[in-house]
Amino acid sequence: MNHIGIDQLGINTVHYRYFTFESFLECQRKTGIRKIELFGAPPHCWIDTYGSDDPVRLKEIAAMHGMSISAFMIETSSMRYTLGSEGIWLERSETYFERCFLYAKALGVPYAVIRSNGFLLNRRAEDRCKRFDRMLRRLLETAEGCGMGIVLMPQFEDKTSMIRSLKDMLFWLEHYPDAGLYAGADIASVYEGGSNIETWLSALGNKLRHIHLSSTVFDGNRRCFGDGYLNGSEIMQILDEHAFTGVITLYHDLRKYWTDPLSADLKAVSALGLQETGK
Amino acid sequence: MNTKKKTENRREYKINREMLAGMNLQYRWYSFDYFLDAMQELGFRSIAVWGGPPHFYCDHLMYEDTKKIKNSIRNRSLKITGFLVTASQYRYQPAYEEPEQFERSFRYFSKGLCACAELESPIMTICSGYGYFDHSRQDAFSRSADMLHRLSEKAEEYGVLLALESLKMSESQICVSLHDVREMMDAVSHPALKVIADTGAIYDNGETLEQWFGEFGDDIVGMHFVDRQHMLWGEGGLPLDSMIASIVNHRFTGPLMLETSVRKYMDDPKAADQRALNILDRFVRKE
Repeated sequence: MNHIGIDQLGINTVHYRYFTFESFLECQRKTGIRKIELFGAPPHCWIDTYGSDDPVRLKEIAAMHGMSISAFMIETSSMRYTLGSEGIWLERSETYFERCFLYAKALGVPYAVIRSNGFLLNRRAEDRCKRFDRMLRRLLETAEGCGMGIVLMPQFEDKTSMIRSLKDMLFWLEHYPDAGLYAGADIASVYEGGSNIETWLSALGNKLRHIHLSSTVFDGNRRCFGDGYLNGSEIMQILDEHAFTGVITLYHDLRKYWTDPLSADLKAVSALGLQETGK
Repeated sequence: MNTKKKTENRREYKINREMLAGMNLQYRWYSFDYFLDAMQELGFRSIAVWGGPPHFYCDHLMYEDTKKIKNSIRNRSLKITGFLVTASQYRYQPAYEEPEQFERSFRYFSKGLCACAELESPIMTICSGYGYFDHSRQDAFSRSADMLHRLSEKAEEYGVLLALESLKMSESQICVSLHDVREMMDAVSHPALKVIADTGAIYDNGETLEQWFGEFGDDIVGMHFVDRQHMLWGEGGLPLDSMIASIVNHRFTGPLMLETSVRKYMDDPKAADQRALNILDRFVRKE
């Protein structure tokens, strides 16, 4: 492997929901990972439609541990605030997303990672599409006002998501070609949807900015590498061959990891076979 | 001969149809009205409302107008026998270590109790919450007990019961086992605090429903009635026949809330509920 090393790898905080941010940082000392993708939900941070805590505090704590926050992911999995929100929830979601962009900006990251879920299945397909278009336009305007870009992360297993496949992703990127809209690739999702990372890299080119690394047994869950069917080392090799320069973060979140997330992290890092590159 | 006798015995264990309460947790990819229509079409008479998004809005400052929801339920001749505001999906839980989030959670669950009373549900389910896994369990337990006591006072004020369910080991270190729940009930010691028997969590912890009846008796006011990890009966391998026998033998008549919630059901939750009813039908008393 020539280009990508462990010094370029980041890790999402999502599976440390039962540990403090400081515990997460201590664990990463053992994995060798120095970059953090902050998952925008408790217990590590608080953002809702009314306000947020202080993001600079987290940035400073990370720095004291020799780490940096290089990415931020907006929490929509609880469905409290989603792109597909309706009625009383819609305005609240819009305010929430604006707060998330401001939070991400204060963290010093260039874009926020977001999923496109929440579009209920008993609504007409045309209406879902129109509402997503309207929400995405507003979101891009808000993000631009905050000096931020948006990375859409696909989610194959969630049928309320408007971006589940490469076809979906290409459609919306072409719909907003000049905006600060970029693609993410969630490895478990990509493969569960019957595609592969080479196809995504070729089709999306430099619009692909962010990779979530996880394995799968094709059940909709995100496992750590070494704990599923995908070969992490091969995937890293492909990213390397394509000279991928975007952000790469581990994103695994299975119930069984919650009591001992470090073991999952170590297993994943080992399965990827990365070395220090000094970058 | 033995098989015939066993079958005859099994047929004696019957529950009332009203006890089976459909739940909207696995309908999260659909609207709340879709869920209610499904309940009516499937012949449910009771429902337990999972008060979480996108079906019910509640936060620490406000909650959704319950009149509209109540009317929608009444118009379909359904009765609410249980309610909860979600504590499992970030933001609110009863044992927060951070004081600000703890107080926010108190306001959130208080609003949940208020909504519960307005919806005329007799019970609001709650869990113990959780502390950080690498911090003191005793401190987390004390915070949870404090929260549950304050909420029990509120529940009494609103004329509803607060019912504590246990969690799985991967979710909490506070109330996982029967012993933990007993410890919490004794610590809170409030007449408005009762128990929900969550069959998935109970058997996950190696215990049985019979043991829970033995320990809590009439304090069990409802059940989250699922096979293992929120699965349909028949998919997780729990001993349904003996569990129904326990329910009947202990003259339990509270709601059996079908809290199924596995992703594979969410595509077509109505079909999943139909399968659940087909499996449970042989235990339902015919009218």
